[in-house]
Amino acid sequence: MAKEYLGEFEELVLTLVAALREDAYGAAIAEEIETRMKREVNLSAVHVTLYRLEDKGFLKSSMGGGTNERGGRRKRIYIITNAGLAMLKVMKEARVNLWKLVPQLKMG
Amino acid sequence: MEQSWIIRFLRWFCPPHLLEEIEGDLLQKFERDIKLFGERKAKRRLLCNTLRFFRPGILLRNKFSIEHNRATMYKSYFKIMMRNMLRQKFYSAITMLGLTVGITFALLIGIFIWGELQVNTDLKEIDRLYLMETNYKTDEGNQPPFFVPALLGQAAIEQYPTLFEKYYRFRDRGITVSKDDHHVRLQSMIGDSTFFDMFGFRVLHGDPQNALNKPNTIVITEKIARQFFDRSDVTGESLTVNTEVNGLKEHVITAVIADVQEKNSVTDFMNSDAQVFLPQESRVDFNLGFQDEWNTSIITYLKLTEGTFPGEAAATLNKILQKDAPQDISSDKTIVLNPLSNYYLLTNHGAVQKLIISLSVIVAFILLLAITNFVNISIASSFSRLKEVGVRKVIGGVKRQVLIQFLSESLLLAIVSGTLSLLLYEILHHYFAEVLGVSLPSLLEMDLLFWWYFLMGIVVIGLLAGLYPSFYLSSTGTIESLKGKFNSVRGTLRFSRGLVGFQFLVAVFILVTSVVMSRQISYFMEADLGYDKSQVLIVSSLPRIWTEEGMNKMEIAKREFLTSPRINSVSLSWGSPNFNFEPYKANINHAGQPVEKGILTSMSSADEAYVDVYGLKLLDGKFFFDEGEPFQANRLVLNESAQKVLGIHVGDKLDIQFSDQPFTVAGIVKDFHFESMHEKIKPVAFLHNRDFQAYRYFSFKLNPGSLEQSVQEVEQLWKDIFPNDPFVYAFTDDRLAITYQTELQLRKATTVASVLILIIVLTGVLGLVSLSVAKRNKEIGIRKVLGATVSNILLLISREYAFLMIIAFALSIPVNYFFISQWLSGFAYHMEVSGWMFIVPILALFCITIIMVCAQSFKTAISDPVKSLKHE
Repeated sequence: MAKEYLGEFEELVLTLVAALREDAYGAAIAEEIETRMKREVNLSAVHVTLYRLEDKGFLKSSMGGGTNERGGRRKRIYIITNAGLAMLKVMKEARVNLWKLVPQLKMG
Repeated sequence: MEQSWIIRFLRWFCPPHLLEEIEGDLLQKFERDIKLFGERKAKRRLLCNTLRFFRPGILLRNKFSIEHNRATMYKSYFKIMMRNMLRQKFYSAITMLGLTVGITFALLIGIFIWGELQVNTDLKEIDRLYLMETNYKTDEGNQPPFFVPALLGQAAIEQYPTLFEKYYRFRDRGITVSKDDHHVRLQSMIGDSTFFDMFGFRVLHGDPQNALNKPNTIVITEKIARQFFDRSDVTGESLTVNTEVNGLKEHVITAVIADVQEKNSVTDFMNSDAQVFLPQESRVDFNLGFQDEWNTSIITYLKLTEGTFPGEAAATLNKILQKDAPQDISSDKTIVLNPLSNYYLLTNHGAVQKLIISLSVIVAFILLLAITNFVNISIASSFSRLKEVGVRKVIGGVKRQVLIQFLSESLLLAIVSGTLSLLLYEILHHYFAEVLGVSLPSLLEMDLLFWWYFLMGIVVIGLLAGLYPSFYLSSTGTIESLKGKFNSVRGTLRFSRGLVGFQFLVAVFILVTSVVMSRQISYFMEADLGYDKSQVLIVSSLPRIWTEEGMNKMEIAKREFLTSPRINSVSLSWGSPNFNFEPYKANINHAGQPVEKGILTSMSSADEAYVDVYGLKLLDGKFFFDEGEPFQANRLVLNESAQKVLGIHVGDKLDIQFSDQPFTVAGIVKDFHFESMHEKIKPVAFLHNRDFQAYRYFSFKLNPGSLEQSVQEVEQLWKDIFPNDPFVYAFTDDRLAITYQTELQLRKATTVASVLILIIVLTGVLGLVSLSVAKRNKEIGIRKVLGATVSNILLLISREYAFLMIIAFALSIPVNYFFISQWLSGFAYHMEVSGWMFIVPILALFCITIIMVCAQSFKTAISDPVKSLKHE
């Protein structure tokens, strides 16, 4: 974990790109966060995060095909790279390891 | 959609390679929002979402083609600008001076206006608070408009709880509050227990729910608590209140509230500055009638429920009034609701609002003049920058870059001037506040919004100042600029002359206006008011014992005061001219005729010495009776206006509304101004204090001599005679100044403004002249060689300005005349506008300008033509 580090929001976006597969683009990710996480996000934040993740090499992108929706504008579809997947795994494991240190209380 | 400006804005700043998908995502979200929230909200959201893309994470992804040499470019701009400014110190100083003076003045006035606009904003849910006022169906009523029937507010809440939420009713009284030997005269509000909840005043100690609902309780502000006890936690302590009916009474402090905004329309209603608050139960102590009767007059605030339309509420109030109130109360009035949010600005015929508007106009003019100076001098001195522009263009600079260069220069200058002005403001605001008689906070107390406005103002000033010169410089052709000569000089010359003319126009306008205002204000400060206002001291803090016994007591006090050699005469009365003169108005008529058909007359009370103290002129009869004569009941004195309208004579009998006995006319006094000169003199009737059963002031006519010593002497006597009452006094002159406070403030502001405008305009002209002389150096040389004399040359240069001034003056006179006639017509008594008020300022400005122009060009005019011609 020395070199790269992901913020909470970055991790969320990266995970969603991985989950949405062929349908991962800015507006869809924002919608997904809104419906699944019940959390207000603003579109520009998602975009900026996507660009930053792409800069870091965790994502690749290409323009999708044109449709009649959204005024004919194409989407930029994101795919997670191997580095990105590895990063997610590292983060998840680190979290699981940390979680194990917490004394497990029986809830309820 | 396509043409929406916000999308165009996005296209402008968004990196092209990201544009398509961002636009697409935004549109997708927009369509989704339409389904979820509807079109209007979706549009707002689109705007928000798009604006949020204007952030570094997006902007910095633009590929700047000339990115790395931009910084050096700006550095070079800056360096060149500094060099230029240093080389032309004189012109830089003039432009900076103008801008700084202008912005500083704007700051001072702006912050004053800001403060005035903040009045009442601390009150809770101000947009639902209203003050009830009475509109009398006849021209005028018996009472000031803010008095309404006491039961109305209560009835409204009970009958229409869906429209009205709360009410607070009060009457104010000046009372003496004491603790041991410490006596203070304070303004009080005697009113409902809803006081705290209604306006959201912060309670520091005590329980607001039960603070004002028991007799003999009192609520005070923190300031007063500290004054009496040196601490704020004083609930449970008690203070002595000197009541009018029941003498000294102990009152328990039930709550202490935090100090309230200095100006507001509740505790500072009509500038009363109330600091103590008593429950409705105290009304009996002050002879104020009962709060649950229709015929008691009271001041009422109402809080409407959310969403209630004020028009509907007012209609409902009138319905209740007509239905429930007795005929004699409801028949002559309608009720209106005034929103408290702008009550302060609009009260007193909108005096504050008018002041704000006048001041804003003055500030706008001053700023415009400062900007005009900047534009003029930039244009005139731009020939020195032309070569630079040429070189930049040859090397590859495009028009836009040059434009940006000059715009950023003026912007930078505006910012520097702005910063200087902030410093100047901090230094000057105390002085200025004193001159204007207002309070101006330090900049450190201003909130964020103010800084935004300030920043925006500076940017606008910078752009306005830089726009024309930059366009003009950047659009000069490359070759032309390299040559350092303008081909098309005529257009700019005309523009620049137009600006100078405009400056003269504004200058003369403000000068003349300032002279007229100043004369008018002196006119009514010095005019014959019909009474003698000099050396009269008014003391308002006497105990109000409104009984026969009290009257006797005051009579004895009067005799004791008269033993002092410094006091000429003493009078006990209800009011003094321009200072709470009349308690109410009533109809009077010949005895036996219907009173309703009589004339509405201001009723006041006084004693037989009043005529001496105020130097009123007795036209006929006596002022009640001669001093020393025994009291004779039911006499009254009328002023000339009343006498003329009624056609009455000394000895006739009169009926007075609200009184069941006829009064005999004892005397007629000459008309005097008991109100401000905005108003025509109205009918007045004086009743004797003993018949009136009330009094409020002692007026002392002092003998000539040191005022200070006289005041001290009166105070000493006062302490002997009234040991339980403080000594609160005022001079009639000062009271008169308060009557004309807004006018006096305006006069001071216009005087300051005229001086500033003169400075700005004259320095501007100075700069222009010296530039034009420098440019015409060679021309002057040739003229001299051909035989022109020094005076020919001076004439040549000053002719241009003389011509401009004459046009400007000719244009300004009619506008100005119209404006001041309008302003003067707001006074029932005003001076005549005479020619000299125009001629003197115009001539003065003309002469000063011409002298300055000549002085500036004299050096060139006497210089040896050989020198100027041998160049090149």
